[in-house]
Amino acid sequence: MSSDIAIQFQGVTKLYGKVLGVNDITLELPRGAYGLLGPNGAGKSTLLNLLTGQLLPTRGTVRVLSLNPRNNPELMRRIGFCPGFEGMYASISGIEWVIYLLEMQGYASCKARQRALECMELVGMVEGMYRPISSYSRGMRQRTKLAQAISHEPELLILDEPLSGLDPIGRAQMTDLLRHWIAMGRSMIIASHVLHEIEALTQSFLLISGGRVLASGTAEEVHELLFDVPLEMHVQCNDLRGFAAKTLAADLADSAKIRRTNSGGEMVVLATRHAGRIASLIPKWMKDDGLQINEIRTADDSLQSLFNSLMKIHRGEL
Amino acid sequence: MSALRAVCVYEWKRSLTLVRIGWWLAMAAFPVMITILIRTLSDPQNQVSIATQKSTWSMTLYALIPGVCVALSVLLTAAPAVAAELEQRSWAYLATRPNGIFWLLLGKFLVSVTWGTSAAWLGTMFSVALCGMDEQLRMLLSLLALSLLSAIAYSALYILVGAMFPKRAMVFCMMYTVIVELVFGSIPAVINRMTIQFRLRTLFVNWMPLDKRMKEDSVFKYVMVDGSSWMQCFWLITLSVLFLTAAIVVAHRKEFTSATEGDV
Repeated sequence: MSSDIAIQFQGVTKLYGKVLGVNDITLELPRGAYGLLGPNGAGKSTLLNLLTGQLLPTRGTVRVLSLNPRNNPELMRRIGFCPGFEGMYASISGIEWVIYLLEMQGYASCKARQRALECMELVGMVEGMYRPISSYSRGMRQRTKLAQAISHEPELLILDEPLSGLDPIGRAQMTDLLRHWIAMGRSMIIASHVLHEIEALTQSFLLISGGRVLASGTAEEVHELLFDVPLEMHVQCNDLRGFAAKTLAADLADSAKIRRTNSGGEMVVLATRHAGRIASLIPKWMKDDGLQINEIRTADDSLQSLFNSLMKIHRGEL
Repeated sequence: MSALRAVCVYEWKRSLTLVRIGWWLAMAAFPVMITILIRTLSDPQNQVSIATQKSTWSMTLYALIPGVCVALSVLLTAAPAVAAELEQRSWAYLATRPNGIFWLLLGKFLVSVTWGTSAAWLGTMFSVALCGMDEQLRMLLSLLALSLLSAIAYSALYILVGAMFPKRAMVFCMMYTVIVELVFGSIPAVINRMTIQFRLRTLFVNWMPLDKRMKEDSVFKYVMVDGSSWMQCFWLITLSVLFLTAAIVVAHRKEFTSATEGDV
C-alpha cells in the first residue's frame, strides 16, 4: 500500500453479536481531511473505533497509515483520537489530564507540562485549566478533549463530534484551529451528523448510513449524485403560476401547488425528479421571460432525507 | 517509563482521598484490633506452653495479615483496575496511547501492591508488638515478607480476574478466592500446588516460630511442601508474572469500547 494512503478498509464488516456495526466497507483514502457524515446510529463511531484499533473487524482488514491499528504502539504515536463521549478523570484539572496523557504517550514530565500548556492555550482553555474537570461546562470539556488529541502532534487526527456542545464562538475558534491543522498538511477524519460543521472544514465527504458507505467525494459530487432524486422544491418568485406552468409544460415536475408562506406571501411547491434541470433553466427564464426569483429551497434538505435518498439509490429503488 | 510513572503517580494521588485513607487505616487496624481483643479476652490462668502460644499467635497473625488484611486491601485496589476505567469511559483515551493498556495495568498493579503492603506492614508492626511473644523480630520480618509476597500474588490474580470479568470483578475475585484459594488450596492433592495459599503456607511454616511438634503434624504435611523457601518465592513470583501477563493479554484481546458497553 502506498504511504500516501492514510486509511484503507478492505471488505470490512463489524458485527456486535447479531447487530451490524459496519457492513462490507471497502475504501481507500489518501492523506487529507475527510468528513464522516451520517445520522445517529449510522456506524460512524464503529468506523472510528476500527481506525483506532479498539475494535477488531469481524471480517476484512483495516490499515491506518499503512499499519494494522489493533494494539499497535507505533501507530498510536502517530494518531490523535478525540472520542465522542467525555470519559476524562473528573477529579483532576484539564491541564493535569493532558499532561497525564502526554506522559502516557512517552513524554518526559517537564516536556509534557510545557506541551500541555501550549495546547490548552491553543484551544482557548487557559482560564479554567487548573480547575477540576468536574466543574467544566460541556464546551470546556470539548476543548480539553481536543487539546489531548492534538498534544502529541499526530499525523492523523480522528475526531468524533468534536464541535458538539460548543457555543457559536467556540465553534468558530475550533473550526479555525482545525482548518489551521489541515493547512499544515496533516490528515484528519472528523465524524459528525451536522453537514455545515464539516463543510466549514473540508470538501471531502464520506456519507455513511446503516453501516454502509453510501457515497464519497466532494460536496459537488454528492450534490450531483442527488441531482435527480425526487424532492420537494419551494420557489418564491414574481410569477408563481407562470413558473409552475413552465415546469409542468416541460415535464420537469410531477405536480405544482401554490401555498401560503409563514410570512404571508405565496410560493410554488413543486414535486420534481429534475431539480438540477430546473435550476439550470432558471437563468434562461429570468433572461427571456423576466422571471424574478426571491428564494429557492428544497424542503428535503435535511441530512436525514439526504441519507434516505442515498439509501434508496443504494438499494436500487431510485 | 514515563507512562508507568504517570499511572503510579495518578493512582497514588487518587488513593489519598479521605475515603481511601479511611479504608487503608481500617485494613491496617483490623489485625491490630483482633490482637487486642485476643489479649484482652484470653484467660491469664490458662496454662499453655510458650511454644504452643507462639504457634497459635503465629497462625493467627498469618491468617489476619498476609491472609485477610492483604487480600482485602488488594481486592479493593486491583479488582476494579479495568472496570473503573470502563465505567468512567476513560479506557479509550488510555488504550490509544503506545502500550497504554500495558502501562495502565502494570501501574495499577504496583499501586495495589504498595497500598496493600503498606497497610499490612503497619498492622504487622502493631500486632507483633502487642501480641507479647518473644522472637518478635523473627515474627515481624516473616510477616513483612509474607505480606509483600501475598500482595504481589493477589494483586496480579485480581487484576487478571478483573480483566476477564470487569462487570462483576469483586464478586468473581471473592468467588475465586473462596473456591480456589481456600477450598482447592486445602485439598491434599496436586491441584493445591497451583494456589497462592499453598506457597504462602509453606513459607509460613518455614519462617514463623512454630512448635516443632506442630510442624510435624500430618495436617501440615498435606497442605504444604517440603522445599526451600527460595523455591516457594520463585513459584509465587512466577505465578504473579503469569497472572499479570495473562491480564494484559486478556485486556488487549477484549474489545472494550463505548459501542460495546455490554462488556463493561
